[in-house]
Amino acid sequence: MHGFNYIIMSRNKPSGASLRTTPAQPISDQLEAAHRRVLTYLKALHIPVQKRYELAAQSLAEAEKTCAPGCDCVAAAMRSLEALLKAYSPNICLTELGDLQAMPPLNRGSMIPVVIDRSGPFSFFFLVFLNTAGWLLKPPIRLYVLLLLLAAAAGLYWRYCIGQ
Amino acid sequence: MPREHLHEIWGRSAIWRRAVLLVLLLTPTFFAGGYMASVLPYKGAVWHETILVIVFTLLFAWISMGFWTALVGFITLRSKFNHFFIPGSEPETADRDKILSRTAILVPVCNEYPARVFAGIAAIYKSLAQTGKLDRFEFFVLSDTSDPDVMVEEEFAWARTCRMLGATDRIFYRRRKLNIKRKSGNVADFCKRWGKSYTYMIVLDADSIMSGATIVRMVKIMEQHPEVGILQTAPKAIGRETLIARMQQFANNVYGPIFTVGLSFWQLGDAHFWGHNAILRVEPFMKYCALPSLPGKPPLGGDIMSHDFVEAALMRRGGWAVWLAFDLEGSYEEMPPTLLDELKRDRRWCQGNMQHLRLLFTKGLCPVHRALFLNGAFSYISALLWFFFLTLCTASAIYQALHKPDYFPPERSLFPNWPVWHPEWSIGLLAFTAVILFLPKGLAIVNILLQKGRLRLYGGGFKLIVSVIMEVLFSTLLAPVRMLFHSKFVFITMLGQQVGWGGQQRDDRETAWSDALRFHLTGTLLACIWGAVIFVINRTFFCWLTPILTGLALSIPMCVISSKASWGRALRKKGFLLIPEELEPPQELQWLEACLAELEKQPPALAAPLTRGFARAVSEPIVNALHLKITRSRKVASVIAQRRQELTNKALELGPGSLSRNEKRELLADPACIARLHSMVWQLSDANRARTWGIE
Repeated sequence: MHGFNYIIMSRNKPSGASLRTTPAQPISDQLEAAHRRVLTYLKALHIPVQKRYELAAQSLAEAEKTCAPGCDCVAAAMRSLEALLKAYSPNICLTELGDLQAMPPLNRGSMIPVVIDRSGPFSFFFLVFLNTAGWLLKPPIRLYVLLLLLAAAAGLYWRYCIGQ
Repeated sequence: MPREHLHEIWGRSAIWRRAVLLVLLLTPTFFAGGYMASVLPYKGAVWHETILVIVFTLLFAWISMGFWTALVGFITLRSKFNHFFIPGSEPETADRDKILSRTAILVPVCNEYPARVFAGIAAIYKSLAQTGKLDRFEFFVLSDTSDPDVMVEEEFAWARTCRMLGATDRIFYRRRKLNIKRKSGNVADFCKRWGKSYTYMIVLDADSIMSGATIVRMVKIMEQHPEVGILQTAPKAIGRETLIARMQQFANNVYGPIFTVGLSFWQLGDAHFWGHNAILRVEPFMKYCALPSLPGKPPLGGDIMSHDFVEAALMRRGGWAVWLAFDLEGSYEEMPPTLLDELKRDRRWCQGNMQHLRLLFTKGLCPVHRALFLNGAFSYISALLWFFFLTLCTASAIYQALHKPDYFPPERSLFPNWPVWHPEWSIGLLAFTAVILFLPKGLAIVNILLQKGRLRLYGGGFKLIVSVIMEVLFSTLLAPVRMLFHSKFVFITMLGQQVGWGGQQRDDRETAWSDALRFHLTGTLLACIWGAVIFVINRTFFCWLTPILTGLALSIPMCVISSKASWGRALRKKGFLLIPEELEPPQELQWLEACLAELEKQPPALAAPLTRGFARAVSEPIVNALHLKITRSRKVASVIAQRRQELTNKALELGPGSLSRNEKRELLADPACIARLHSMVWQLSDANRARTWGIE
């Protein structure tokens, strides 16, 4: 699990062209852009307006100290804002969402896949036949079966021996 | 296989009921088959007529199954004959009011619309809170979502729901990294991690809603009947506005009850499990229902797709009863909004049900569950059989028209071979089949008429009858379209083609004409050519085929029109196809609407509030912090770390749109990367690049 520790304004610069600063811009323009950016960030955190401007002013003041011509003031302001936010409220990003708990403590058990024995249809029907035969030979069913067989035998006898 | 509950009081009664069903099914089928043979010119004596009679007999048995189920359901409902019925209407005593066991409510999701999923959970939560028994229930959203944008939206919707309800310790969210065995694997994963903490689990779908009172009642029933392993409710279809979905909702609401009661009458404790809106006893589920993979490759091998039927069969094999609680109200689900969505869902179900044929001879299963496997597969195979039947009939009609009868065959015979065709007998057979098909609908209307005050909830007698006629006409026209698609699905599955199992569209989006054309052009052309050929060769048979060909020929406009929510709403306004839940929405559905509106109303955190999922996780501080909080960091090989670094740079340089889904997913899985990206994005001084992340 990661808490606020990860939300740090990284000082690592990405390689290659990913960090294209705008050195041609005068510092005042850069500071203005930095001010806007810082305010946007604070607004996204739903920080009260008064505190928002206070933090923005502080971070810009910090950035201005380190901002030389050709330097990226936006990045500097955001980095100083990170330090200020940490001091203001360490878990500022999650405060609004409350004390969330994604999962309860584990209580592990096992689930071993069952054996699905798919015996062939012939053996299946043979087993069904055996079971049915066994059931038919149990009392009191066997009495009815016997009577049924006797009736069938009598019927056949009448049909072929007497009826003709 | 040892069974745990051997002496079931309903066992003997179940044998009798099923024996009666078999007799009821086979006797008319036998006579109908004979009658069909007598209608044909050669009385079924030539090979193609013999095949025709066999196919007709199979189809007749199939439809008469529904007829007898509905009839028995109607009689049972009217006579209140529900012996052995477990849920019943048992009186609740004071000591029964206590619930001691803990129950987990599981909501497995996969690329669903997060706001709707969590609005549903919120509605159930509120309803449970109203019962005063909330402390015995915990919710788990088990995500198999693969879309990175949806993943982030899910996390945020979860957090907002928890905050909205003050339920940070009662609604949990877990996303699996690997979606092994899809939904069944997701539920099994829950059981392995937390199953031992709960006595019961209620499994819901992403679109399910259940009232708190029903949930509590289900737990009580399970506590009163320790031999019950699964208790399935009969969910009512609600909540859609498209024309086809409203038709389905209406049909489900009007005809559904008698069929469900009928099913329960035959099945008793050997009932279905439909995979959602049901309560399961966790311990036997973990012991008996862990599904293995089938040998061989998909679609017929590999992971078991339609796991629910198999789980019910395995639970039963372990000796635990599976009951269908038809009288429990307050259980709802949603229908697919369009015909195409319905067909996509059917394709998945078809593959799953065909797979069940391989389990037909599994040792130890109850005969009823074998029959259910067969029944499930046959619900799609029957379409192919119907198509085959029509093709054979057409071939036979063409043969009759073009071929001169051979009155004096070479074999010695006293009489000439005189083919006699009795079209008037065919009309009798058609009428008999129509009765089998439509009488259940009539019984359903009578059932509503006999319930005091119920008719008003369907808009009154006249509107109910008109709605039923509309539904019958509509389903008659759509039946051949479904037949054609289902036949294709069965065929494709048999050929070994697999289907995906992604999320479903659940909003009322209309089908575009281009989509309808793409899906239905073949069917339309087939109908036109088929009709033209038959019209030229045999006009009498053309008349017989007209209802089928009309449905197929009109499939493109029907597909588009049926997906129109405006048509559905207009009919509702006029009072047609009404269901009671539309006229008097229960409290849970009202909460669902309110919570959905609340969750969809997102405060614009950044300048571009429409920035989607992944970009939000990177740029919005709160969404980012939430993602980092719930994502576990893992050590990865240096090659992977290097690749992720390159992806981070690519994202920063070219914006979120430059990343593929897999790339986004890979970055989201690594909290360090997302944290770094968040910080770098906010430090971007180039306004254009910052804008791609919604910052400027």
